[in-house]
Amino acid sequence: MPDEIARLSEAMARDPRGMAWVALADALRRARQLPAAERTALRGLARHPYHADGHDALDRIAADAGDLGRARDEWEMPLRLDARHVGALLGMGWIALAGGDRATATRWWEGAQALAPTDARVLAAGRQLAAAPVAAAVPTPARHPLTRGAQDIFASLEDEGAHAALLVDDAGFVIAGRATGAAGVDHAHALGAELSGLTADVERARLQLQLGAWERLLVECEDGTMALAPAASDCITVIATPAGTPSGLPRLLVERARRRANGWLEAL
Amino acid sequence: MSHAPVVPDLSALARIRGVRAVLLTSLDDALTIASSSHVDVDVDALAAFATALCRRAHQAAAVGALGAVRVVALEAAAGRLLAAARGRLLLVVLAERDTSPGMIRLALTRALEGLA
Repeated sequence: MPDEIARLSEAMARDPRGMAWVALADALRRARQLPAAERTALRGLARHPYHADGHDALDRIAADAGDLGRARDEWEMPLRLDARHVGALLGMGWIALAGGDRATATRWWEGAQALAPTDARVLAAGRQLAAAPVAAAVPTPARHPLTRGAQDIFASLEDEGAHAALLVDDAGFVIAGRATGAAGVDHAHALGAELSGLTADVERARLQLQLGAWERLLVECEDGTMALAPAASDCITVIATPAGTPSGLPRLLVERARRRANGWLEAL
Repeated sequence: MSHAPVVPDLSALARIRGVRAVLLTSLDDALTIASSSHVDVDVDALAAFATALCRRAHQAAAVGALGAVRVVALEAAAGRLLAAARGRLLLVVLAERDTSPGMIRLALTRALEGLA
């Protein structure tokens, strides 16, 4: 460990504008030199304020220092910068587990696992999660109260040709629906996390280009079409149809999904 | 000997009623390669935001196992943004809300078909 810190410090000295500060901050954290780790991370973030890995490193320092509230707040930053940031997804899960909320921890972990199933950090977190005592779980109020049948609110749309239909909140969490691929793998959580970033880009584009409120986003692909529409409570609905579907059908289905989702949200 | 053009002819798209801007950009750097637009449209901003949107759409499509993205269409209260990719090139159209999306989509895909 001291060798690693010395090597990274030398790299920083050789190239002060380089990115060695991220690894150095993390090495200092692992060596329990938390004040030095925090100074290194903060100095680096002053130069690179939108560096997701840098924020991730700072969050780990806060977590190791026992400041779970700050770590939770800070870990949302790398997720805003990159909804697919595996380290931040695992970090949010770790915070939830530390607070005794095993269900939420599992949800974060599943998002990371869908993105990087063979990542050593994901595998280690999975083992940690499996070893966590169920009895220690302290229920916390869910952000969205899931009611029975949440997975089935779009069932009739599936009969009409949609092979995925989801209701996702503004943080990328799936609230209702399902998205099962051809191999039978449920990728709803990964898709939900990705859609959070996509809708953020939609918001930026429509604001900068003065397009007004957005109504739909259609993404036509080789193997299918995805259609998104904003729903109540800052949520979005998304449906996917297989290749060969008439090009007007996804627009129709996502509008139906939006109406159904809004009705369901109001009834909660 | 004839060659397929490197840059598509944007004029057919630009002539569609309600189209405010047409541009060709690169998914790699979002720099404008060719454009035809109304004076009030910031072509560089359009290229930047359309490219960012399409890159993110590519990522979402990959997670959804939908394959390569062909067309991205954003429909909003005051306008439409459509973009179609071929390789690393992206052809983008900004249009008024009441412009026919089917017409633009057809012209977009035709314009890209003839590219080298």
